[in-house]
Amino acid sequence: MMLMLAVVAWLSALGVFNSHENVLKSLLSWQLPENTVVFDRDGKRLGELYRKDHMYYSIDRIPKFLKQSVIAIEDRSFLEHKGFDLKAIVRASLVELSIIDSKYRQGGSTITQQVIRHFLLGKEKSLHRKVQEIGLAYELEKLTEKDKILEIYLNTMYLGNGAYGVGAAAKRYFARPLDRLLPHEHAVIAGLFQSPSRFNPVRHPTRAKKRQLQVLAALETSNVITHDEFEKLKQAKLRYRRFRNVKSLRAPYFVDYVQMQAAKILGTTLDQLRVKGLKIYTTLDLKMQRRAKKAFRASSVFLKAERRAESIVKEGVEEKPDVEGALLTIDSKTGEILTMIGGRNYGRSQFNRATQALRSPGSAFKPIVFAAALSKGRKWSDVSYVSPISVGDHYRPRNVGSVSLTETTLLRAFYKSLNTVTVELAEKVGLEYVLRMAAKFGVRSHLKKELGTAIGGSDVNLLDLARVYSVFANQGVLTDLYAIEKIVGPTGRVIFQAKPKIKRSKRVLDEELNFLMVQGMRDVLRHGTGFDQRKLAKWVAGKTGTSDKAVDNWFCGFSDNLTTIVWVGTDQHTPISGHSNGAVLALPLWSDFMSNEIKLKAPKEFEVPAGVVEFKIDPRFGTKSPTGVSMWFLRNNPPSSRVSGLERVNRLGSFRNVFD
Amino acid sequence: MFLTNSGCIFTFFMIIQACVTGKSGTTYKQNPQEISLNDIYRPQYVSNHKKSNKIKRKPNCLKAYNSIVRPLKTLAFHLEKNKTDKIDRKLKALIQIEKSQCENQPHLSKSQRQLAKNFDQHSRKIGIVLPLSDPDYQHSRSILKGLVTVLNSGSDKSSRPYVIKDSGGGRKQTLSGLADLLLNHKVGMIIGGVNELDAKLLTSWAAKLAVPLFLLNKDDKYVDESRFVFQVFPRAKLLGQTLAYASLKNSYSNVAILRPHSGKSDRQIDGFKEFMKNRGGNIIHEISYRENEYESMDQAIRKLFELDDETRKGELVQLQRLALQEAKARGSQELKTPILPPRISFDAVFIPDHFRAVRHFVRIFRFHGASKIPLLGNHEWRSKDLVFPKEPFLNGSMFVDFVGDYQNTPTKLEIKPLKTSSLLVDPEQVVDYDYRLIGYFVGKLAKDVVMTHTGKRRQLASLLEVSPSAFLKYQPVSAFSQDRKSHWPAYIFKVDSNQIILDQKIDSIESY
Repeated sequence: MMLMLAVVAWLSALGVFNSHENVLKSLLSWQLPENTVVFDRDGKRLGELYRKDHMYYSIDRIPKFLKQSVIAIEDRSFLEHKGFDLKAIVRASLVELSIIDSKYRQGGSTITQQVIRHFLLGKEKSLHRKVQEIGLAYELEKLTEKDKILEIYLNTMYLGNGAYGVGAAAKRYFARPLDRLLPHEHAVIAGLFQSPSRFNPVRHPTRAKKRQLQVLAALETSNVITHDEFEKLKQAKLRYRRFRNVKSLRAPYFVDYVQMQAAKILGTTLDQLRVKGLKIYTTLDLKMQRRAKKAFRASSVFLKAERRAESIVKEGVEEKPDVEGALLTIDSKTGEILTMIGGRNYGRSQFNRATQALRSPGSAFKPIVFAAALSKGRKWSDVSYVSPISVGDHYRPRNVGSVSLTETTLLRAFYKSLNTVTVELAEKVGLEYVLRMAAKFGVRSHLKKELGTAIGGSDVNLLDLARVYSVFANQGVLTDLYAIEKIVGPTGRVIFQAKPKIKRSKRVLDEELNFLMVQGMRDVLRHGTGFDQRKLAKWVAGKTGTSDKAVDNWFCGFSDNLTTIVWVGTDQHTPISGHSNGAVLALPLWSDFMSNEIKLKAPKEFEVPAGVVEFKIDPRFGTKSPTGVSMWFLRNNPPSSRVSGLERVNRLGSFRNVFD
Repeated sequence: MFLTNSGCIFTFFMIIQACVTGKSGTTYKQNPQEISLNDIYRPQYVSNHKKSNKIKRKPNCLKAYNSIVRPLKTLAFHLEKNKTDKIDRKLKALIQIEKSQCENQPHLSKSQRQLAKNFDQHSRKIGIVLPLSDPDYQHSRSILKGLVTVLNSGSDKSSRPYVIKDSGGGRKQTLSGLADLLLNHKVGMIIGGVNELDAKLLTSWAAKLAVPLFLLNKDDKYVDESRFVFQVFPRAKLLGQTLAYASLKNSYSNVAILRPHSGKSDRQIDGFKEFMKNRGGNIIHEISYRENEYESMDQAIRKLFELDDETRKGELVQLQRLALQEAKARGSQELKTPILPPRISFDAVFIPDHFRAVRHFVRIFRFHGASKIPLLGNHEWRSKDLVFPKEPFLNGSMFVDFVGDYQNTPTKLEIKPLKTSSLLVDPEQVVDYDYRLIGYFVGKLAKDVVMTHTGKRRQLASLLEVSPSAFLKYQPVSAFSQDRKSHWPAYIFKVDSNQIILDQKIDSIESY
């Protein structure tokens, strides 16, 4: 009697007699966290976002054979017991104590107990925990049906390889939906519940096979299958597939970017976003992304850069750093991000160089300076002298190749990318004005208030440059970039829709001035640093960029509808020696990709607005010359009819040589 | 009246006199004291000769033959065949005198003397010898334009007061043209000598035959050959002197010179230095640089600013220490490169090179930390490109030129100043204009001398001593200095508020 009272008191202290209805109801109302799925612009899946990889299957969609297999191996009397199985507990204890032997080990816990443990109690092993578990299992069985408990069990238990539940396991081990698996494969999955890592079929196929046979034997014992069927299923071949998330195959960097953007839009954390079961429809063009990726992989620039990259010393060992790259393409008219490659190998590095890396743009920043100058009344034909300059006390920018003792028009300085002229121009136009212009063009990275910024002294990212160059491509209008078209909630309700284009657009530069800049950037290809790709100059325009010692190599350019930015460099900001620059390391890749896109999209030539005029101008001296290069001017600010003595001096070596 | 009289005294008989005294025309070179340039311009010289001419001695036949007849025979030999018949009877007779005739007569006969006198008579025409067909001397066409513009003015088209000969074919053609001018056209003066060959030939024959020659050569050495040779080209040395004069007036007495390696400005520099030296100025540095080579120009400025001077090492070390301290204060390991400030020990820098070099020098000055230095320059500065694009560094600088305001040039020369400034012209035209103006002024001077004075050719040379009244308003007080070298006026231009302005015309620097 005393013993009975003591047990009752102990059980009471454990709370066995307390009602746990509320806790258990919350367990039953628990919603399986659904993965958030990202789609491209055509509705093709780009990837899934999740905290744990779940794929919810209602009990009626789960194949019967799988259910039977799980019950047979995990809890043979599941359909009979009231939450716990005394026989099974005793049997398990005896097996544990080696008093009896068993063909296959079966734990003492029922499926209901396992659910209770998984959701409410954790993995602690103690007597009082076991008692609590039994009590709660019993209570749960009273509250709900067996099917519900089984559904929860099958959908939530960890089955290895990152899969939670049988649906995710089917995807991760067999790369097929659950309802397309065959019975012998169901048996494999059923065998995973006991020890997912031990029986992981991909890592340990032999163990997995052995476990499958145990499951099949249990099924035979339970009379679910006959011996013949057992033999047949035993012989059936198992073919596993190594799981590769679709996200890492198609546009992993873009998907990462999208989830960050979506979290920002919805004001939620990444973790929360991943389990909301959202459908995120993006602007990415998967076909174009594939072409970009192909061009990226096939490009020889990386090989070239790797050969030339200067070694770094890492833990006392000299080694060559990995050369990385990034590519970003947007629709200049709409601001839609169409392709994004944030690095050469997502598996190796998930750092997104297209959106996260801040790098020196080098001369790729110059169009902003020249646009500022043109907007202040300067003309392409304005002449400057070229020689080393000294700005302030200590800033002495250099021209690449030590170009000095020459003269140049602004246009030539632009397409030849002369640093000294650009710095002087920024000084004359006013640095503040240039910085304001950069902000108007959509540069959001912090720009230093020093003249070096004019030639790329302040770091920016690819998105900044994509905005800048899309303005030029879009007749002077900035249409802000976006990657997410809409977000649909789990119920099918649209919870976010991108603003219409008109609300995201604002004019940055007059159409006419913009056209002058576009022509200037076409000249980069026709006469300047991009001369190697002059064949494209009819359709595209752009600017090379190289930071000091070719640490960063850029080509930023556009056709009438696409703006593409390419960067090549190392994450360690190490120099790339030899004759390396944007034209050598970034432009070829840009060209490989864009020339293909041009063919596919049949781009138009850049439209000529009414308020501009074209003249043939000597590129060095700014005088009208039939053999000069084409320069465009505002109709109300044409080139002066100025004659140049410089041209004469250059030609004859003297000016008024009456005494020579 | 005085001029006419004195001119009459100083006649072709000088040749005869030379023969009498045993001194031919060429002996003048050997004894310049006898008939020096200064003497020509001095009235007393005329009077001296007046006295000497009074010595009446019959000319030695053989000497007269050697000094007059023989050169004429040689010249006639160069005449084209179809032109030999055009020589007038008297001159023919003079040329036909043979050396053997002197064997029988120690002195010239009266008729022979008359023939010799007759050769000195001129036709009031001007002979022009220019290498017009030589592509290397294209500017001779510009000179010709200036010449004919002035020579044609006021004269009947049918009786042009000049005869043009092309010397572009070389020595033979030059001599042939000269022979035609002197023997057939009997011109009173020759204008020419643009190239070296012409200058030598014309100088030589001017001396032999006592023909006044307006030499259009930039080299003034030929005037030493004969008192009949006048260097009419603007003079670089004079421009240099004038600039030095202006420099001193502006209190730039310590001047550095950047000398173009090609030597193109050596005469100007020499004139500049000479004047500075004589008037108490100092040349602090004279540094040569190779034109169109940045490194050389930069090195020249480094020398000028004494940036690599051994004595400044301590200064540099001090700057390095300061940079280190500053970096420490900033908490940075990045040292600012110490830059030595320029050491400027002069008041101004003379850069006798074209505006382009000047513009680049200015940038190099600034690169090395000099924010303002007065600069001095020459005629090659005169371009809109000197001040466009604007270059504030140049404000206050000045340069010298031999041409003033283009607005004031004769309209017939068709010189078009720029719409924006009458001081500037199209750079493609500027040399053409320079030569047109030179041609015009030379033509004007020649016309005034030759066409207004009949009589003996030899006489014309002495007229030039005192003929400035005949010149245009652009002309200086006197056309030539005492050594028969042109005495062009000089103009000082200044750069003010990014514009070129004409500061002053300097007719004479003697008064300084």
